[in-house]
Amino acid sequence: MANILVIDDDRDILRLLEFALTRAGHDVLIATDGKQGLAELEVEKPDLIVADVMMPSMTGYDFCKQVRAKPATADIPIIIFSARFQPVDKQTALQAGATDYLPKSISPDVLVKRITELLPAETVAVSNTAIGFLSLRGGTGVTSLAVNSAIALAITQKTDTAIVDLTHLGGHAALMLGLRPTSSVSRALSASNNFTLESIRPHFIKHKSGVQLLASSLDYEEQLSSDTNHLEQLAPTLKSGFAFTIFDLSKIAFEAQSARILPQLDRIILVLSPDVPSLQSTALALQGLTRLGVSDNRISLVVNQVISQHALPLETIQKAVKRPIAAKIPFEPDMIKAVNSGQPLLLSSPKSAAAAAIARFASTLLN
Amino acid sequence: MSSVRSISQGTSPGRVTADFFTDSHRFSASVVVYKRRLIDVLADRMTNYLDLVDIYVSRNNNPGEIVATYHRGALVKQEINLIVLPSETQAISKERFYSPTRTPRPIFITVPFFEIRGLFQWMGDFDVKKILTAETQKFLPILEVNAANPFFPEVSFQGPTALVNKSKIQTLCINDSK
Repeated sequence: MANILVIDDDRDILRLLEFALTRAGHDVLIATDGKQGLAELEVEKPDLIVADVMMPSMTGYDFCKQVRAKPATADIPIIIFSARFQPVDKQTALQAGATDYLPKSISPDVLVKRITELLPAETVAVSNTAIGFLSLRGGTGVTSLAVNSAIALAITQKTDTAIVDLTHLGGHAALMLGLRPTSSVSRALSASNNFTLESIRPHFIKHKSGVQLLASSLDYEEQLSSDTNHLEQLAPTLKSGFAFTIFDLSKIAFEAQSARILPQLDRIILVLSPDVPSLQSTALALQGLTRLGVSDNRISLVVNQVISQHALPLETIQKAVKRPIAAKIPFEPDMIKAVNSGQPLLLSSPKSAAAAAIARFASTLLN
Repeated sequence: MSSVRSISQGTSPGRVTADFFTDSHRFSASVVVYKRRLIDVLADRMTNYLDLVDIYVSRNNNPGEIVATYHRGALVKQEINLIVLPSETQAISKERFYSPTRTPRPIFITVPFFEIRGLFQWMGDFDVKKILTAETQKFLPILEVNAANPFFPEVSFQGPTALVNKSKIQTLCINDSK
């Protein structure tokens, strides 16, 4: 995803950070002191630098000043991290030109998260991504998960994020976002013979979070039919203009024509609730995806605990579907309140356990 | 205490990095404690010196600036006013039994060039004089510490724990409960 230069004289810490950053998908360059770090910069310009303060031959502050003094490297974000953890140390680091300062008492995960936040958006998302959310069983919360994941991506990544409600008729994405759309997917797809990103853009409606919605059909007469023109062009066209395009696929996924959209998606999120009927539907959905040629590594399973009691344990679910569960969203009593008020959970109850779980899950969609 | 492994835990085992404050200087340095804890190394009566490695020296009036660095050094234990640590572990002796009944009390201490606020944990009947005399340790562990130099009050040092040199304490004030 990005090239990170890590500078520390402690080889154990270098190994730990190299492991954590590589696991997060970054390429890691290593230097054991400031001078070696400056020499690395002559050879390759990294996307971000992580540097210790207490190093032989040159402190992290001096290293920072030298990086900022050179026009070629002046714009590289630098995170200073140190065992010196006092407020005055942070102030000194920022004065020396550091972008941020973190104490070594934090976990590597916190450092990785901060790096992700500081990296320019284009280095985080290698290429634009199309993600489909679906379930063969109704009532598993596919739309609420799709909507909240889109919001999490739009807010954390600050990139163009679209959500497309591909429900034939009466999709709820607009309702959950508190929006009143004036156009729909079916209108967008039938509006022009010359189907381009520009021709489709006017049909979107923007939410305050930055997410742009292409709503489902507004009335019976114009419902999305499976032989709608341009349907198979939809994903590639939107990918050309949005960093993330989230498709709320609901049940259309396995119908003959509309199923053609599935192989075009980079990720497919199969949502299930922790009950036996949902397990059965998930097994069928997995069979269907395999038949359509969707590779296993593009499919993630998410358990959405839409019921407060009598949920099947996660181990039982994993055993039944014979694959790991990527995320479990806990039961959230405020979810229905969020739906009724048109305020997505991530904005109305951002500190709730479910919102936090959705945000964590959304961050995994970056990899 | 968090169970998440911190970056500093990735350093060589048996090595503790902390800020050591004397009347005039701040030393950010490491002490090799092996299997002991820093408070026990400080209590070791076999030596009056603390062996430091990888020392970064700052002056107390400008504690952010590193004015010198050295590989090795020795600090006279008696001259240390306080030590600010990044975690609680090194401030509790291995020889001391853990007790959940210790009560945290707000404490205010002055040592030369520092006023220290934080929490002090005490078990049993409370007597201020006992704090200084009851245990054999030379340093007093203070939790959630904030230490400021009265001459430069805009600069303060904070941390989850500090060890305050008992022999340097000028004043000690404490509240009955948190």
